[in-house]
Amino acid sequence: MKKIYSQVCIIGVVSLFSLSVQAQKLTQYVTDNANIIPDVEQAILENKLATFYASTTNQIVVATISELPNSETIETLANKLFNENKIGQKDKNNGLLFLISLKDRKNRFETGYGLEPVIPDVYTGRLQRDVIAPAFRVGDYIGGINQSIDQIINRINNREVYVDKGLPDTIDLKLFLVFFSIFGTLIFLAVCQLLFNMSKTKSVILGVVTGTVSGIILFTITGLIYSFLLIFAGYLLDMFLSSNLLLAQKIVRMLKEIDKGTNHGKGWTSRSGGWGGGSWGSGSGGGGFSGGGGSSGGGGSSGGW
Amino acid sequence: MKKSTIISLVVLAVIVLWGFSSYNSLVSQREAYTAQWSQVENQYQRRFDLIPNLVNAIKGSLKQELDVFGEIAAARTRYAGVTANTTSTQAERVQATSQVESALGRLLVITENYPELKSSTLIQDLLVQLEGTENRVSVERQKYNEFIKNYNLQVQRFPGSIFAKIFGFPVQPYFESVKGSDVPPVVDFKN
Repeated sequence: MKKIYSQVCIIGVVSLFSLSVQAQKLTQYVTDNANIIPDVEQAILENKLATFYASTTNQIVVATISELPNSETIETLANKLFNENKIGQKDKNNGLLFLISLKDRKNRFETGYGLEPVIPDVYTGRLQRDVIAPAFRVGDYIGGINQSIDQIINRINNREVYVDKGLPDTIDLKLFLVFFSIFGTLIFLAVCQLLFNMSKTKSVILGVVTGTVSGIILFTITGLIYSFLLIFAGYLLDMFLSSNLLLAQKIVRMLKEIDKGTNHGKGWTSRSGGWGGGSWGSGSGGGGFSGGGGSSGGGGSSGGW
Repeated sequence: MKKSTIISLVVLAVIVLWGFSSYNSLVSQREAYTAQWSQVENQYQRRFDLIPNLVNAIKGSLKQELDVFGEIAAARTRYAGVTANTTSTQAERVQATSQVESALGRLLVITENYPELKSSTLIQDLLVQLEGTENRVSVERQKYNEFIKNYNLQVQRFPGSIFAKIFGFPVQPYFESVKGSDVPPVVDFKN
């Protein structure tokens, strides 16, 4: 009991620590911690950015803080906020964060990888010099924000956003599907045959050896530690089938029928076809912001006023 | 076959599987940090491509020769030589990089002291680009260190460390900025 208590304590301390390191979770397109944007203007801007996301999938997020934490610069904080909130879409990285720190008189545009060619550093740098700094100097924060965001939206609307097509996980998925639609049936038949033969031999040892060998082969191909569990499961199954010959034959017949059905209906591919879509896009209704998996490599520019 | 034979076979299989799994995971982690390092070098290259533009712009509006121009040119040549040489170690690369960094830092401080340079749009744009590149370099370096950390953890933690020794996966050093680079450069106006 004491042990459990101390473990709970450790977990508590660890999670507290990680909380202090993490950046704020953003739930709105406009997050005004520094209180420099009037509520009415904030609602209008929020609506504008939500609409822009809905029609183009580009996510522009505005955040203000009263002061930078001790351990952070505007660059490190912006990068953290951006990547932990996953601004932009995963395959396009089309996010942009505008971070303003009031007391430090600093602001930063953090650009996602995908928007870098459309919104280069020089462009945001000029906005900061020519639009934001003059407005912020006289205290017109919302004016500077609105004007620069409008120009950015215009610029994005007039350009095509680069789409990264070489994502490894989509290629893997495709290979996976091709692999199964071609070899899936073959492998399945071979396994059936093996099961059928083994159910005749009644030999437990042969089952263990075959299971281990096939497990190792499977493991070297996939690199999954779970294949070891499969061996164990196979071993139990074999023991069970070896002692119930009739049942085993019944099961094998059933499997063969399923295989036939699969072959005709092409169930493998059509069933897995749905995987690609719908991995993001968690409810955009209601206007709140939720990241789409975008990331930034530190692009963008910093400015002051 | 006896029961003891079966048990020893199973134990052997477990150890072999475990070895495979450790080896594969070490290899993929090594690939991950190597790929990340090339990402860092990408950003370095981007910076070195920007430097001549900046130097030319400053030269053009300054109309006087500064020592720092020569230093930058020398540092760039050295860096180009080190990166072209495939046998050069990572330590040499890091050192060549930091030489360029310190020469560049001096140029930037000089720029601060000339109001006519600071107000030039061309130079301001170039400085923004350079800052952006610096920031990208530090972001990619940080990612690189994170990869190295994961890899080193696996190499050093107890049961896995046995396999790391057997397969020959050494502990890798972190990328640290060279000593002295946190000290702001001193400007001497001997021109």
